[in-house]
Amino acid sequence: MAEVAGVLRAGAERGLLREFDEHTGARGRFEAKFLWLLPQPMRFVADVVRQRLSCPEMLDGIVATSALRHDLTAFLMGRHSAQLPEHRRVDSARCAIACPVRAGRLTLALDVLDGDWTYATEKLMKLVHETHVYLHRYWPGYAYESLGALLE
Amino acid sequence: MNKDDRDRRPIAIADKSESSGDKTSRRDFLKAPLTLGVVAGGAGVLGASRVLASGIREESTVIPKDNAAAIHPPKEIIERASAALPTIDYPMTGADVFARACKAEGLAALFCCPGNYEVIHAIAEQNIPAYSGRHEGAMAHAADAFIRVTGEIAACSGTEGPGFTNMIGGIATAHAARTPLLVLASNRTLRGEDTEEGIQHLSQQPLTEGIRKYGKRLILPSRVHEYAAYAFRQLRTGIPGPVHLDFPTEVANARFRNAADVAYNVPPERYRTNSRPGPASTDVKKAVALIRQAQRPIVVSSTGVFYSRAWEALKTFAERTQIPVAESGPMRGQFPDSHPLSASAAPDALPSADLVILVGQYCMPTSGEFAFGPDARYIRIEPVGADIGRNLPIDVGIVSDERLALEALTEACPKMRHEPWLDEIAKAKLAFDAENERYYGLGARYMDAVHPAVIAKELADFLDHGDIPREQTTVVSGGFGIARYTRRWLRAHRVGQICNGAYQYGNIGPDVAYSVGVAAAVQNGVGPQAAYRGAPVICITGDGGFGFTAMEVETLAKYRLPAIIIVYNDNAWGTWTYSHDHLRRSPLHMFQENLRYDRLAEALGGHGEYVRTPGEFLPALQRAWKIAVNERLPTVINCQAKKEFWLKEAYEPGVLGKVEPGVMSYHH
Repeated sequence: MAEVAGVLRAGAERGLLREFDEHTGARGRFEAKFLWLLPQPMRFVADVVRQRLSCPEMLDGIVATSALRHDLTAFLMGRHSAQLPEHRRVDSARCAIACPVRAGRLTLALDVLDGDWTYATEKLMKLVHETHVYLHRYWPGYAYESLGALLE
Repeated sequence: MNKDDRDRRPIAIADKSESSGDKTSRRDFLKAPLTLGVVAGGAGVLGASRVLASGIREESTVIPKDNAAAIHPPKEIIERASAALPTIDYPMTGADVFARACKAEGLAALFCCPGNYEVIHAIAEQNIPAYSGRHEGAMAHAADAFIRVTGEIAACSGTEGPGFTNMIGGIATAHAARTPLLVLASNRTLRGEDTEEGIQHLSQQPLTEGIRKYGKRLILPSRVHEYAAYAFRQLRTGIPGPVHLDFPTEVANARFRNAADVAYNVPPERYRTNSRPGPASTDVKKAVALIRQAQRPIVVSSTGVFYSRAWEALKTFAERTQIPVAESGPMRGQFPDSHPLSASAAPDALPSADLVILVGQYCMPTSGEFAFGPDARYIRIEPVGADIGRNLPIDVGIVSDERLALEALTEACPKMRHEPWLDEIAKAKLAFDAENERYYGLGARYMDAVHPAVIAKELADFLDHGDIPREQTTVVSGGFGIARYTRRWLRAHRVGQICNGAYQYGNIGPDVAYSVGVAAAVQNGVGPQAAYRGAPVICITGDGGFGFTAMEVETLAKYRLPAIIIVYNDNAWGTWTYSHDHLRRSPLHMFQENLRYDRLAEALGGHGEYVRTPGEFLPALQRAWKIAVNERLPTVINCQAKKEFWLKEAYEPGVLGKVEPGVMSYHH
């Protein structure tokens, strides 16, 4: 998981990711925790066995049947679109986007299809960021209630 | 005057003949020639046949329908521009010495309420445009807005104690906006310090700590000129901010027999410099290296570009390097939205930027507040190094005056091309326009009240695509929920065209007061407003905010400042949205329904329009414009909306979010 750690450490060294902490667990599982975009710490977990890089429980208060969930899923899956420029797109031949919701918590994940964990880490960071921008733009009520956005 | 200049001149949509018998007005008008001047020697432009050399000629006095006595400005206001200026020479008071220093420094306007009498009288007698309003806080806001659309220094003033504390909110707002606001207040006597003799004792300076750049209670009368110099050094250098001086009676009333009695009595060129810090060549080299590597660079142009008057340097740099520009900040127009390289209305593209050049972004967002992605590198340019690197990590910091830095970068950068990046921005602009059109289509379907998308779209079309030159109208772009709509459509085409509401401090309610300052700037043709002298101005606000400074409609009417105030009246604070389904909470966020803010305007000597359906908005705006041009009266257009428009589930698109920087900028 040196690739994942390398990308994230670089973000920490630049001052982008604050209070950065990392550890490697059993069976090559790598986890990093840091402050970025949200008031609460965010985690990136790389699971070699499942070939999945995820940001577990990134969003709280997501009702599985809600319009927000539906819209957010459509937005995220749209990140595979060939209409997007390469630097904004997640190449579906290399990573598959997943956004499961359990107990109201949405996990944002990429299934790594080509073994390129550097690519996956960079893309997951962008995906997390774009989700943040999207929610502030189109779901200001949720951003206020759940993301720490100011009422004004 | 060349043809381009003529084309840009303000025009009226109604001429004098229309004004003399305006059938659309809801009032009768007594034809009693009045002359409203602001400054001796000033002249209006709009409705040229109505203008006298000494000021703006006004022919209307308002008679209410019930035949009550006419509402009109007193003749002292009407005639003040032609009143003889007193000869001010030694022996002089401390206030006179201070006012003379202000005049020498080009203080462009004073906004005040009575109080601090010696100082405000002395400033008015220096022929500095002086306006008095209904609340000192509103006057602080007015001065703030005046500065934000002119770049010139203005002052606000209040009396000791309560008059001063009334200004606190305005000072704090100006501080967040980095406005070089001169705050003046009287402050009892030195001999009575700490006694509570009489009334209104207050230790002022501790109260502005944290919301000012510099402050001083003047102690020694002989140093009054010296402290004027302290004030203007702070106001005119570095990163701007409010400067607060309080005047004990012994200072304001001091008598100086001759110039020798005044300490350090030297002209501005002796006590301060106009020299500006230039960029270090090593920093420029590092910045150029980053710029050359970048595939998708972008400039964020903000407050410092305005105050360093760097807009031409910015344009030259952007065009040479083909780097797009997005604006942010408390004022907009330094880089026109209509320029092909403008990225202010391209929110979808912002996360793609790989290099962000922050120029004069004094109020710095934290990570995630601007839409730039995790890959973005940052170059930050400011005249003072103390703030560079705060909140967002930098890759290169350049301590420099913004204009000098941009000129150095232009010289050091080769001509560049970023066609794929500019194509991406162009597509993002089209997508944003399409999204706005969709919102307008949704809003126009709601027929029982006026949806904010209708106001935003039709106002923007009126200003940008009608008979008025699109560069002409200066706009106070305020409000809370309504601003999330109007800012999507409003475009700035020249410097000083948009004053961006309360900005980062988030103060609710300055908007009507802002319109006093903005209209005064336009009335006097100060700085970038020179070409539009006398033109009507637009103010957008909400019903919550209107309540804070609504009495300043009287100030607008009194001085014949033709502001059109669009009130989005949805019967509630914007905060209602997030508590609407809690019955013990939601009443705290509500007003009485269907309040008649238009009638309040009429009671204060202005004009009122009440708009209840989408189709009524544009005709009301047209009538208001005609009245502004021909009668120079302010109008309140009371747009009856409903708070439920913010509920996305019931009234799509509901309350809107934002993306910064760009036209939607709200916090930074």
